[in-house]
Amino acid sequence: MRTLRSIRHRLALLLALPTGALVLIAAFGTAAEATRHSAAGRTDQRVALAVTTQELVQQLQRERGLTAGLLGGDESFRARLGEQRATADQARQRLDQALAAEPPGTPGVRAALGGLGTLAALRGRADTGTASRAEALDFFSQAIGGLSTAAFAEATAQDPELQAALTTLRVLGEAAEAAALERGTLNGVFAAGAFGEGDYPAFVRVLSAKSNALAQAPRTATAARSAALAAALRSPAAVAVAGMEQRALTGYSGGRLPVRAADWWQAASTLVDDLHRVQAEAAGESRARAAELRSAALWSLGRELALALVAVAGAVALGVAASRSVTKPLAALVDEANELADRVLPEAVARIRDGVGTAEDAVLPGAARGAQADELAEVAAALDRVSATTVRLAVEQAVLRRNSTESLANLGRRNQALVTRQLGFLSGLEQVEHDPGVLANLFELDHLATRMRRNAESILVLVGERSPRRWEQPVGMGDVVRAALGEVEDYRRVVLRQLDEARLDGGAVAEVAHLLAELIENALAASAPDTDVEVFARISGGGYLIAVMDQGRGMTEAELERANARLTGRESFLVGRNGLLGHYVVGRLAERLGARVRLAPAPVHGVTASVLLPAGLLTVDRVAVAR
Amino acid sequence: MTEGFELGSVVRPFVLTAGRTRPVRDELRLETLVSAPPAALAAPLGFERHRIVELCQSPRSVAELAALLPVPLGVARVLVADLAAERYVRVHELAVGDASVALLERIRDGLLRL
Repeated sequence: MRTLRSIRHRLALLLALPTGALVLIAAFGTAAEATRHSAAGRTDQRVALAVTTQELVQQLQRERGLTAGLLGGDESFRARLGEQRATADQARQRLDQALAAEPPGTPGVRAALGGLGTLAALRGRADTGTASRAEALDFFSQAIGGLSTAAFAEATAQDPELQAALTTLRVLGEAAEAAALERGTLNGVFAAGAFGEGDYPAFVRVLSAKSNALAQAPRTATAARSAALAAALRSPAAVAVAGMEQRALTGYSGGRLPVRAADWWQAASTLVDDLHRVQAEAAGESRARAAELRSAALWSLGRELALALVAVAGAVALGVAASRSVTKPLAALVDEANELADRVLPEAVARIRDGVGTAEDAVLPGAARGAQADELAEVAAALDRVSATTVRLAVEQAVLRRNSTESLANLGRRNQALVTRQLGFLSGLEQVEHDPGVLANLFELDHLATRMRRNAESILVLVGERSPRRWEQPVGMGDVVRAALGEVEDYRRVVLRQLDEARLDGGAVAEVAHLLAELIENALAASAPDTDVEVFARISGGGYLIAVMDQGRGMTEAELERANARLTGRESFLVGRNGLLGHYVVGRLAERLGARVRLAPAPVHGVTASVLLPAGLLTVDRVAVAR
Repeated sequence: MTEGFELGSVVRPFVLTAGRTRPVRDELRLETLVSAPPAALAAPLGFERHRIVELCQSPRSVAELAALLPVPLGVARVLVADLAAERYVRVHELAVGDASVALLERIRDGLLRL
C-alpha cells in the first residue's frame, strides 16, 4: 500500500480504529436518544389526541344523559338536547380536524368513530320517541366505550412517571364515564319517575364501576390530582349526587321517586364536569411530562453529539500532534543529512585533500543535538557516526593518495635521471663512432632510451612534477618538433608540411615536445602503417598553432567530446581508463603551459589535433620567419 | 638547473638522418674537403642541410662540419653524401697517389695503436 509509506499515514491508520469505534458508540447513543425523543413526541401526540377524543366523549355523555331524560318523558330536556347535539357535532368536527394530521393512534380512533355512524338515525328516533331509553343509553355507551378504548390504546411509555400519568388519565376517564353513565341512567329514571325494567341492575353496575374507578385513581395519580379528585368528590354537587343516589337506591321497591330530573341533572353534571376537569389536568400533566422527556432526550442527544465531536476532534488533534512530533524532528534530521551530504562533507574532504585541514579540523554539525525523542536521537547519533567515518576514510584516502603520489614522483625522478644519464653516455659513443653498423645500433639504443625518458617524464607529469630538463636559451620550433619525433616509435611516417620559424622559451621546450610526442603517437596509432601523419606549425594570431593530422578511421562525436574533456586537464587520471593516459598527460601539460589542445575531425577523414601555444612562450624572430 | 647531468642536444641525432648511418657514397673521410656553390643557398633545404651549404661557401673538411653543426661524424657523413648526390655540394677528390701514401701511413698508425 503506497499511501501507508509515510509516518503520518501510519499514525492516521492507528488512530482510525479507536476513533471509528468512538464514533460508532456515539452513533448508538445518539440513535437511542433520538428514539427516546421521538417516542416522547409520539406519546405527547397521543395524549393530545386522547384529550380531543375525550372532549367528544364528554359531549356525547351529555347528549346521552339528555337523550335518556327526554326518552324518560321529561320534555324540558328537548330544547337543551338540540343545543347539546350541536356542541357534540362541533366536538366531532374538532376531532376530525385533529385526525386529519394523522397523529399516532389515528386508525383506532377512526374505527371507533364508525360506532357513531347511526347517530343521526338514533337522534331521529329519540325525537319521535320511537327509541327505548335502554337502547339509547346502550348506543351512546358503546360508542363512548369504543372511543375511550381507542384513545388510550397503546398509550404506554418507558418512563414510569409518564406511564403513571397515562394510567391516571385512563382511570379518571373511566371514572368520569361511570359518573356520566350514572347521570344518564338516573336522568332517564328520574324523568320517568320510577325504575323501569332492567334499569335498576344497570344503575347498580354503573355505581359499582364508578366507585371502582374512583378507588383506582389515587394509586397512580399525583398528590395534586388526588387532592383535586377528593375535592371534586366532596363538593356540594357531589354531596347532593350522593344523596339522590341514596334515594334512588332505597326507592327501588317501586313507587314514584322523590327526585326531580332537572335537579339531578344539574348536580350530576357538575360532578361529571369536575371529574372531566381533573382528567384534563391529568392530561396536561401527561403532556408536560412527555415534553419534559422530549427536551431531556434532546439535551442528551446534543450532549452525546457534542461529546462524540469533541472526542473525534481530540483524537484528530492528538494524531496530528503525534505525527508532527515525529515528522518535524525527522524533517530537521533530513535537512541536516542533506546539508552534510551536499556541503559539509565534500568541503571537509576537499580541505583534507588539499592538505589544508585534518580530520579534527573538519567541523561537522552535531546532528544529535536538537532531537528529543530517543529513537530520533539514535538516528541522529548514527548520522554523526556516518559523517565521522566518512571524514576518517577521506583522510585515509587522501594520505594514501599523497603517499602513492610521492612514491610515484620519487620513482619517476630517479628513472628520468637514469635515462638522461644513459642518453648522455650514448651521445658520447655516437660522437666518436665511425662504423655505420655500430652507429646504427647505437641509434636504435638512443631511440629506445628517448622513448623511455618520455615515459619517465609522463609519470612526473601525472603526479604534478615538472620536467627537470630546461634550456637557458630559446630553441627553434623546428628543433622542438623534431625532438618530439625522436620520442615516438614510428617517426619516419611523420611529415613536416609547414614550419613557421619561431623560438620557444627554453624552459617550455621539453614539455611542448612531450605534448606533441603524445599527440603524434596517438595519430600514428590511429592510422594505417602506410599513411603519413602530417604536421603543420605556423604562427597564428593568438600564438603558435601546431596541427597534427592523421588519416585514420577518425572518432565519433561522442568520443571526440570525451577526449576533449580529458584534454582540458580538469579530470584526474586516477578515475580514467589506462589506455587513455596519453590524453591525461596532454591535458596536464597543456594546463601547465597555458596551451589549448583540441581534437576535431580532419577535412577528409581522420582526426586533427591542434595545439595553440600562447604568445608568451615565444620569441618570434622576424628574420628567421623566411623559409 | 640541469641538476648534475648533461642536458644534451634538443634533437636526438638519429632523427637528423631518420636513422640512416650508411652514406650514399663511401669515399668521404674526415679530411675530405667539401664546398658549395652560392646558388645552393637558395635551394629549399631545411635545418642542418641548409647550414652545411652555408658553411661550405668556403671549402670545409667533413670533420670540421661535424664539429660546427654539431652532430656526430657519422651523421655529418650521411648528410654531406646526400647533398653531394643531389649536387648541392661538391666533394674534392684527393689525388690517388697522395691518398695511397696517406692511406698506408694511417694503416700503420692504426696497427701501432693495436
